[in-house]
Amino acid sequence: MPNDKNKVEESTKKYSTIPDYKHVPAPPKPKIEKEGDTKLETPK
Amino acid sequence: MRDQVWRIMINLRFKTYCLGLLVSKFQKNERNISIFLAVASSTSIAAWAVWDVTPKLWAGIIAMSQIITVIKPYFPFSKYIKELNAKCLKAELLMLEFENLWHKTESKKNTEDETSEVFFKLRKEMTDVFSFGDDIIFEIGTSIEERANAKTKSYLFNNYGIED
Repeated sequence: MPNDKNKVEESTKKYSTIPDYKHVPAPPKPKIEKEGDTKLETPK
Repeated sequence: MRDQVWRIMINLRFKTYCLGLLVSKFQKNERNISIFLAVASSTSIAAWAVWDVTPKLWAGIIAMSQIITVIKPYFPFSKYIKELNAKCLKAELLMLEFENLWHKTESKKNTEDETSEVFFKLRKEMTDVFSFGDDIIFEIGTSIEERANAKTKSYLFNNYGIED
């Protein structure tokens, strides 16, 4: 019986809802600026 | 908090794409039904001239158009389009606010408290946008989900250089 209830809930949930994105990747790594880092200059 | 902002933002991007594709689907349905009814009504009048040629076909077309006219009010596509379009626009604006929050979080322009305050405000708005009344019935099919997945992947690559 509990399985039947779950099935009913699942089938009603399917309608009028927008699913979530299932493959959210890890966020890009934060940029860490170290002291003493020198900026590259483009050659003239 | 940084991870949370990121996850909800990407989820919002996906949901907004789904909503946009759903609106397009309803627009197509509405247009196809209108075209069929217009063609059926005009050809059924014109068909009197060729009635003897394929009477069953014309009778079928007329019967079908009558059935569609009767059941059309039970598929209020134009009402769905209007409401979902408004929600789609709100979701796009919300997405811009999320991107702004992500940018400020990344560039450390916001403190943790400021980020969380804006984040929960936006989440509340997001819940509101993605809540649908009982009178709006739809289903996100596999086709829409797959297309929204592809669009989200492309968004991730174009904006953040992330490739799955």
